[in-house]
Amino acid sequence: MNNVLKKGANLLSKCSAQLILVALIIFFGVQCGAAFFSVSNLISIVRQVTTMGIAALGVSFLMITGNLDFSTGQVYAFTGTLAAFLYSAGVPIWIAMAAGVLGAVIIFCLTCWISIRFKISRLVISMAMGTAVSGLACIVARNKTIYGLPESIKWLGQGYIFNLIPISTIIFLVLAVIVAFVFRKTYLGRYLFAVGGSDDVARLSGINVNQIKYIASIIGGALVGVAGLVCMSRTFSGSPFAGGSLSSDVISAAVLGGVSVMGGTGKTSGIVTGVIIIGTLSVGLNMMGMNTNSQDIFKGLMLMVAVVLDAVSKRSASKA
Amino acid sequence: MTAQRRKEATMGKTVLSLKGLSKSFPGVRALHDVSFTLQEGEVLALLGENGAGKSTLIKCLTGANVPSAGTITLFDQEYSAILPSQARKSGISAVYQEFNLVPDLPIVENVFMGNNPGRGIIVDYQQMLRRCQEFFDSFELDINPEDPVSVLSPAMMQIVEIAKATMLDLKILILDEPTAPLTQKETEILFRIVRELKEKGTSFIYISHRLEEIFEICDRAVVLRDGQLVGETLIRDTSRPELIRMMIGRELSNYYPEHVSKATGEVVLRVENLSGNGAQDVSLELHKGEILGVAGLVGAGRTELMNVLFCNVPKTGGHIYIRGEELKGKQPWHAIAQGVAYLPEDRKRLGLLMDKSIAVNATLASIKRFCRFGVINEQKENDCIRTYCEKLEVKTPSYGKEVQHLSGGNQQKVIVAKWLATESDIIIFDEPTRGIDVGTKHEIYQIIHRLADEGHSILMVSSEFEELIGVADRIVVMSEGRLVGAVGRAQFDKELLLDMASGSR
Repeated sequence: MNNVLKKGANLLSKCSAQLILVALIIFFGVQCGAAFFSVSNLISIVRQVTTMGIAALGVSFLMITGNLDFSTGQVYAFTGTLAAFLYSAGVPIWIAMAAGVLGAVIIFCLTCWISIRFKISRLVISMAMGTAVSGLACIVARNKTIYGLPESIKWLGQGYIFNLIPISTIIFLVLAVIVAFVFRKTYLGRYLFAVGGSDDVARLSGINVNQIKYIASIIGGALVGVAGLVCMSRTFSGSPFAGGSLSSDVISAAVLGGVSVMGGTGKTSGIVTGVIIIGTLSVGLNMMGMNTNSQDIFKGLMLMVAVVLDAVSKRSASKA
Repeated sequence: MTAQRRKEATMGKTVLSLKGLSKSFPGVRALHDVSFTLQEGEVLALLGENGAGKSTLIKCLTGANVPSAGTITLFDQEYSAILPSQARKSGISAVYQEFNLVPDLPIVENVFMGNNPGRGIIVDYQQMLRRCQEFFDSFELDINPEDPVSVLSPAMMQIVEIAKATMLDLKILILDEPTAPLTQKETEILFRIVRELKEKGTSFIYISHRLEEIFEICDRAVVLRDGQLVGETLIRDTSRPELIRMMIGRELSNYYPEHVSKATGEVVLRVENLSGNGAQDVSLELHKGEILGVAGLVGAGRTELMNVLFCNVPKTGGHIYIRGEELKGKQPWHAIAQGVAYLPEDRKRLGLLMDKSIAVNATLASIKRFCRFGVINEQKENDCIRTYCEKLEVKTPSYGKEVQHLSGGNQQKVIVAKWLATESDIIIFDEPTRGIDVGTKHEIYQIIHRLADEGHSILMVSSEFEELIGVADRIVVMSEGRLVGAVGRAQFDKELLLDMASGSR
């Protein structure tokens, strides 16, 4: 009997994200009826979460090395703003977009450098950096949303395959598969997890810890930048205000999916599930007619639940 | 044991008695039908290998575990389970290896934590300060109670832990490996404290892997093996081999395995006038196949020197030559690339990713070898893991098991496997058997010997002179950051080494 319970608890901690998702779907299914399960509604959930998902993949690189970053939303908005601004200033759109991603990479690396050089937690630096980047984006855009982008980029955020599946979703899934491969099958993956597990153990095992942190920042920045570009294409504009609550949403999604805030653990499948949970929650709550303020309460609670689950499962694991 | 002596031993008042104490966890019987007593003013050694049930027993006494069966009688009050608050009220307390101190708070605040004297919400700080100072003064310790705990050495932190326990008006004090971080001198201070408290009627349950200490401080010993009480004896009636036999259940004919040195004249590591990280002007040579012991008291700078050798801390002067070539790197991976391996003293914090599997830990330092274009060839990786874990006899049902669930000895073996996988040939062992039980220590010594026989060169740091005498081919002694002497196998002598280490020669 005890054994059964233990196995159950084990399963629960392994698939807690999936179970939460199922519970949410059942809840909204009951509340909203069949409309919730309509194809268009499911697609809308998926489309909603695409940009957040790509950004969450990026942030997970940082989280796995034990570095929390709270500037994701601002960097994400900055990327689209910068690209749109450069295009409006006459730069070809592809170069402008590349510059936007490069900007995101540089910002993440700068945060990383400061945190390593002065031995300060990345969490704190990234908050300051987020504020600064947000200001910079507003100056670049002169406090306005920049419109007038070319039709040639519409496919990225608004294109569909078979008139059904958004192209951006395909991009997200392909990136997720690549990230899963990197995490599980490459030495870079091992090194990321090792650094997150313990800086000291990693260094004494011959791993160049700082180099790994920079690599995580570069990949993380690039993915957040790509997410920003998808958002730019979808809204067909570059807005310094596009970030919204993304910074905490991506962390909620990653933690719900089993990426520990302490670093060292996490799975790609979990991150994808976590992202879908956040998407389901906002679409479901919308359907129930809840306004955004009340939705924020739910999202906040969700992050708390996620962090508590993370802590509890860690503790029971070390006890066993 | 004669009847007369038995009577003598039980003359004092019985303060604690266990009857048929058992504790089961799902799938494990941690304690089974354990009964013994503790007298007033007695120091009772609780012996047993890791996993014998010592910790479970202690936890039953302090209220952290609830026994499945049996009774605990504390001062004539019978309990089937003790609550932590009851344990505290009846004056039973444990000092654990892991310190429960707040580093940034003053010592005096730590000593009285949760036990502040005063009225209502007002704390009588002056009284706290006075009592704390009195305690330190009575043992001639130069500690300022208003300094933060973080300025203390680990040894002094241990003393503060004991001070904390004594302020609770203690009747029974449980010491779990109290001397592990202590030097000889500090151990003496600790023993004086124990003896003085004993005179006042405090009883002790004393856990240590160092058997010499048991003979010095304890009156009686009870031995646990696989959760059962297998022996009980007066210390003056027993001997070291007998205690070991009781603990591991068989004769350990040769505590240190026989070994004929196969060291050659070839110098693989030469250190010239090396300074840095507290080490000063150190010169030494390590030969192929040699086991070079590095002796010294805690604080002599041995671990610090090893960190400089491993390029973990930059050197400030001198040269390191590996096979004749100067090691100029400034990071551990430069040393690793030259075939140097380091097994740190603090395995759990520096040696292993505790929540990762044996497999991940075993190939952490060598994973790039199994990669093409950055992608791991799992077949090759698994072969390597199996080869080395089988060679070292890592006992586990699966290599996917997290290392935090392994015993200390098996954890150490995983770290050895990690470095064998990198094909290192200069291996630095820093306190390789700390916290490892008697039976497994033997295995670790055999591994060290076998590695040397296979042509690895070994630097072995240890605080236990006996261990170095038993295992090393040659011993160098450090004191205050300097190398103060070298001794060949023929001249090995504990007194001589101790004299050199304490700087009197």
